[in-house]
Amino acid sequence: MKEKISKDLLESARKKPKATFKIIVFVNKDEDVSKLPLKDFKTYMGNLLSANASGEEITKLACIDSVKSIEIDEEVSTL
Amino acid sequence: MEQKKPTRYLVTYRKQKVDLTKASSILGVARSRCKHGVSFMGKEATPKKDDVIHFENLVITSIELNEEERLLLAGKKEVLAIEEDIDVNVLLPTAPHHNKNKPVQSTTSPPNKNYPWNMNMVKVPEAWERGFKGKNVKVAVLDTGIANHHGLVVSGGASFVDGVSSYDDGHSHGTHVAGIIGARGDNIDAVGVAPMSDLYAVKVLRDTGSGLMSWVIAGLEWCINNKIHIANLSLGSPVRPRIAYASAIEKCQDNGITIIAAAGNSGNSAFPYVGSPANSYLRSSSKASPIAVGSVDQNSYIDSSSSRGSEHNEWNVVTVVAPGVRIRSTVLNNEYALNSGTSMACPHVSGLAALIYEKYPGISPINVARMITITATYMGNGAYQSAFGSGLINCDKATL
Repeated sequence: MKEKISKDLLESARKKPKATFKIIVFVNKDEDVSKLPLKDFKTYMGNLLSANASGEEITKLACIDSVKSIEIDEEVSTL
Repeated sequence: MEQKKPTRYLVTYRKQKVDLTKASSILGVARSRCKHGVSFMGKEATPKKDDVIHFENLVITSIELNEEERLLLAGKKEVLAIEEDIDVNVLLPTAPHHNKNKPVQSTTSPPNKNYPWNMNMVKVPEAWERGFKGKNVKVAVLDTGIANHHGLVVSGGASFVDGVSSYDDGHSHGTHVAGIIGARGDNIDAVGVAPMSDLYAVKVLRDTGSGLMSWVIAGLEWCINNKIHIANLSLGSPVRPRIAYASAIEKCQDNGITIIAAAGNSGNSAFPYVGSPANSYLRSSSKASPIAVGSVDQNSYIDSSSSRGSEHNEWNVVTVVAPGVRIRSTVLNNEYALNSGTSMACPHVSGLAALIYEKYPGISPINVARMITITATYMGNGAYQSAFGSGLINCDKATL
């Protein structure tokens, strides 16, 4: 379960279980994403979800089989 | 059950050198069925069902396979990709040119003083003379947007930045990148590698120059929906590969979009490795990795800040290098300015990809990458290969 959560996110979620994080969730191709325990999310390319979730919610999400990875929706910048 | 008719496929190998005998062994076919691609195509012959056409310089074989054979072959470790052969003529090979020393200025023709040094360095004028300028090729610049500029023609775009609907550029980075790909000037001021390409502004970074990974992914989805040929990502962060990026890049390349990403400017920092998304990979798919671009200066030296190598073997590394130091291009207010970084190197490669798409319509991203790497001028001399990858891009050879 823990392997699904990226290392940096896992550390932050453990430290602050009540805090809200911007995350990207990668799920199985044919997953019905409306059934996932996420309140507010956007779907890209069918199986990539951008969402806000608490540390606790992230841990629960990682227990779902069809969820393949959970990563921080991190900042990117010009190079 | 009805048996599906065999289809002709292009098999691409992992190794850089696979001769006819080795290819026949990997494919599991008799050596006598295998023919040299160059001489076969030179006779303008049409392949028969049993013909196996091997292009040694491209390290690609054209072969008819049924579904069972295709799946069996796909499982072999020597095979990088198997794709439907849409037009065997697009793969007429050019001989790779590898010079072990620093060969960049050893051109057969003198630099054309009418063009900026960076265009001469990657031999774009030679490709233009051959008529390749990126016509009818759609290139998306995922960046801070593109500003109105008399040197640029923007065909369309979208914004994925929260609360911003316009794809106008309030920063200047995206406008500079766009100019390197497709500025239409024809003089020393600034001209793009593919001046006739169709530029699309996909704003995924705020006017401060930063944004979110999800905005980049949204921009990539837009590229699929709008049948873009090339997506230029002169952006990133110095972090480990992200699965979400790898998945998005794989989907794009499955849809025929070549993804080209700046390697990063962390070469001299605590994270010297190629950054995300350029370092993307998926263990099971070569399509999940973009073309990662490092930066060299006018004298062909690697830019000290150009990211290189990887912390783990599997991470994607620098594919090729291009000029990225003090590059003159379009900026805000109809002006021109110099900028440096792998952000500036990356659009040179996107421009080259546009020339290749123009020459070979329908070419797959994996073959665009192969065409770019086999025609690059090798510069690493062993020690610096992690910084230079396959070497400096060569627009002349890639469009021969």
